[in-house]
Amino acid sequence: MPEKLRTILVCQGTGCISGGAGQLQEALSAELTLQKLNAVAEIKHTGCHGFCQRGPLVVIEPEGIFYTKVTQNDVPDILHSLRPGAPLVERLLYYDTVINQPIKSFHDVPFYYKQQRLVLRNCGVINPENIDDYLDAGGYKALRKALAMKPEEIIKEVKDSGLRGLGGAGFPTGRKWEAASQSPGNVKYIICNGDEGDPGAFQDRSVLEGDPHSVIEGMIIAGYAIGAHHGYAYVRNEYPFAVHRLGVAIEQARQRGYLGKNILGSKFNFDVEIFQGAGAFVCGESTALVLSIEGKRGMPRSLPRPRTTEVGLWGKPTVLNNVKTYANIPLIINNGAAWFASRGTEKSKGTAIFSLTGKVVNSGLIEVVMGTRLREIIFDIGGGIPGGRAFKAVQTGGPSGGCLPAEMLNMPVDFDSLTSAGSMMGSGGMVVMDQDTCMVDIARYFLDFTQRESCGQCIPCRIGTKQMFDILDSIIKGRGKPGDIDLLLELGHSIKESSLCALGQSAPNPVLSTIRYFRDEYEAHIFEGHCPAGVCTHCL
Amino acid sequence: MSKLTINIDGKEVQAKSGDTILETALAAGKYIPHLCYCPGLKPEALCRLCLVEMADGELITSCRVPVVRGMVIKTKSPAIDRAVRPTVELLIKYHHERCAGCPASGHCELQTVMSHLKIDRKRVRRLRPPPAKRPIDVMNRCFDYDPNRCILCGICIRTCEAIHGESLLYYIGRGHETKVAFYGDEKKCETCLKCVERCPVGTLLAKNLIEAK
Amino acid sequence: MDANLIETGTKEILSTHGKGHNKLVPILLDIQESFGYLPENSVRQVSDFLNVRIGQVYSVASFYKRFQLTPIGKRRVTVCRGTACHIRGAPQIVTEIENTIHLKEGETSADLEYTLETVACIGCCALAPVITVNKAVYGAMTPRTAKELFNDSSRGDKNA
Ligand SMILES: Cc1cc2nc3c(=O)[nH]c(=O)nc-3n(C[C@H](O)[C@H](O)[C@H](O)COP(=O)(O)O)c2cc1C
Ligand code: SF4
Ligand code: FES
Repeated sequence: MPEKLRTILVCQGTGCISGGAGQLQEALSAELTLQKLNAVAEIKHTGCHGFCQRGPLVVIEPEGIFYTKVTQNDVPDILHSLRPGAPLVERLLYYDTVINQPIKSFHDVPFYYKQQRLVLRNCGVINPENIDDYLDAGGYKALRKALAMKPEEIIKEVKDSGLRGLGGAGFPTGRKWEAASQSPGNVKYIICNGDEGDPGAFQDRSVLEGDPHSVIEGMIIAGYAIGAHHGYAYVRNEYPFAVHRLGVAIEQARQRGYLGKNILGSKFNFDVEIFQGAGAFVCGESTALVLSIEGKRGMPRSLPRPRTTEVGLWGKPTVLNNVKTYANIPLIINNGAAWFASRGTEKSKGTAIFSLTGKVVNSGLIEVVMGTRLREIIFDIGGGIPGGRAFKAVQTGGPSGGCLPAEMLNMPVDFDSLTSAGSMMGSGGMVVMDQDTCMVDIARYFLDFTQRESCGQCIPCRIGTKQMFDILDSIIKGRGKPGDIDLLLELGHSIKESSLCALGQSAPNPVLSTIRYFRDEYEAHIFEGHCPAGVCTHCL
Repeated sequence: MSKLTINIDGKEVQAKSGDTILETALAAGKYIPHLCYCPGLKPEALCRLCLVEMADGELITSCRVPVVRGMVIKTKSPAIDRAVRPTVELLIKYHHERCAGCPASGHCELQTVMSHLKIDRKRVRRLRPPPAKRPIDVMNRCFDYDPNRCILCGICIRTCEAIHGESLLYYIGRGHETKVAFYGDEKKCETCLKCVERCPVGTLLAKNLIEAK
Repeated sequence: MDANLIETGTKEILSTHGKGHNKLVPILLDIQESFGYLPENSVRQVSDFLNVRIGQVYSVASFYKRFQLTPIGKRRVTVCRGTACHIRGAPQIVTEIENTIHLKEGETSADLEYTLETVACIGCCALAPVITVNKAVYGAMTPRTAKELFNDSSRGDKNA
């Protein structure tokens, strides 16, 4: 095949598909043939390019020309612009309001150049349904290298890298693998946690949709390191594209001998199976997830109990890691632990991936080095608050996290700083709120979520979150009572201290953090019957 | 079985290795609130009321932790109280029925917990009302199930499982709407009534008891 | 739905699955996908096939939000109540749709035309607020566009 001069990348992340990217790509193909440009350009569909707010996105390589909000009507103009000497389609370029100019290449768009896309390096660049694209980008090189290493060496490399699990708790990945590898038994399992139940988060989905092979490669290496031969990828049923692309990728990896028996002639066998979650946030919790794969109700098991690395799926030693944790593994094996550990802060290495959404100009999928300040993320990458409104708070960690006020904007983002401020890294949702967001309403929103998602087996979480929700609901409806703030604090403390699993133990965080930083808003609702943000209409 | 001693609230207490802290305390006449513990059944630590404080200040569920030689624990402390009391108050608020007239009154574990903690009715009153009452399930020919009294301790389910290998009673639903039901398997019930006997409150009631009332 | 159709449909689904207890959720997902709910007879077939008690099947099915025990409407309208959608106005959209198609959240119309439900997060947060009608996704909704979508019923059909 002759080298094409241009590649037209059409983003097919869930965001862009919802905006009509599927039809757009068909129209592009048809028009390409019609204009007899097939020799000049080829069309490639990719996973999420990240800038979902501006979707559907089209990128023309090698220049990186970046077209946003593209519709089928723009197709003729885009293709015309490929002809020698033809101008770019200026109306589709990203317009930078700071320099008051359109920007040609996405490399120069602030949303992108302030990021460090390591895990997301292939997302939006390769065709996730074509294994050759992944191979061309250096894929499965790490697997080859790993299979030539001893399992202990791999574990040491991962330990030395300082990688911490990106599923929320930040547990050191190398230590987890080491524990599982030392657990006795021939049958062990690898599980990839792609449950991503946090409302407001879509980064795991984007990785699965955009670069599924990197996750599979990470899982195979993990399997080799601990001596497991079977892996499960647990993906929510609400993510049809992720399930589909991961399925395609697994099939292709089998055909090429990266999965299956005697992988790359190494005598090592490993295969991956997809398991679809059926809609329960609590199944993200490790013991619940395991029960759910076994076909039971996903109800977490109380401490003290053996770790999943000793007694996991079907009672066998199991390593459970997040999607992004696995996607980091090929990077670490290829580049070495020192390379990885040179990024980030002392205790949080590597990068963090966030779904940046809410009242922010540039919504999308972003990746920054650990320790980046909140201000840089929200204002430099996110472009600040739309419509000249004032920033009020940023929520991280979803229903387990908290809301941080403007005073915290200079805080570096890493596992420990967020936790000490009363929030959490969580699995990576970051929702920006402005002056028109009512913090009591937000607290009520999250408690509504947890009381719906509580598995219901332990008393503090089951009826405690319900009661907290009822109190918050009456406050925003103008029926708050003078003792309510203290009551919320008392209940919150009790639920945190006594609940069985981390869902209950962190459920009060959104309430406690908003009372800590925005107590005056609660007081305004309760004592003055007034909602400062003007959201709670019953309160005016 | 070997003996060992642990320290409960400043007193040395004899314990059998393999026993849990809760079992040891109860055997020594030291009451710790509990609802989901049942002798002979695997502890699941669902009610979260049996919290005790370890020497390092950590709160643990005593029903699920085996004794270790030299353990020092407290069954009462401000930290325990702050963790447990609001839950008990909520349970009472969410318990629709009054004790008067309840066939379980007098041998109800919830009453024991309440009097042990000296629950203050004023603090219960400030809570928001519970969700609407749900209908009683006339489960099978021998007993009824009252979801409004159920604390979801799971003792009935675990009992059925322990006696018959697999439980006929199931959790149905999720969150605060969870209930216990046969859901299609009531005909297979052998009416040994062990589940009714072990219900710590007045949720599962034998029909003859209800009629007597 | 025709009882025979359900029986043969369920049989077909079962033939694609193995027998372990861990197949329960995948089988139920397929049945839910095919019929839009879990018909009683299907559940009975699953129970026989896997040798799992009926109560056990319902116990598991009632735990996961994806499963419905009653038939749903031809057009399944799902409003995302993810965080981003919430702060960009999802509650007002729910109200508007409730008023337009005269259903409350969680209800199905008597003629089985519509089901209205909410979902924790579809993951299209950048397009918030988002709703889906069957498989079609509509982003950046306002109460007005929501109303239009359901008044102009031909649009809902196209994506059925
Ligand atoms: C209620 C609850 C929900 C969770 N949801 C997720 C999730 O969606 N994805 C995830 O990777 N981890 C989730 N976790 C964390 C997992 O239990 C587990 O810590 C993680 O998957 C381990 O992977 P890591 O070490 O790579 O972070 C959740 C935990 C709890 C308690
Ligand atoms: S804390 Fe909540 S989710 Fe966790 S076990 Fe208890 S009831 Fe279930
Ligand atoms: S008795 Fe220990 S948690 Fe219920």
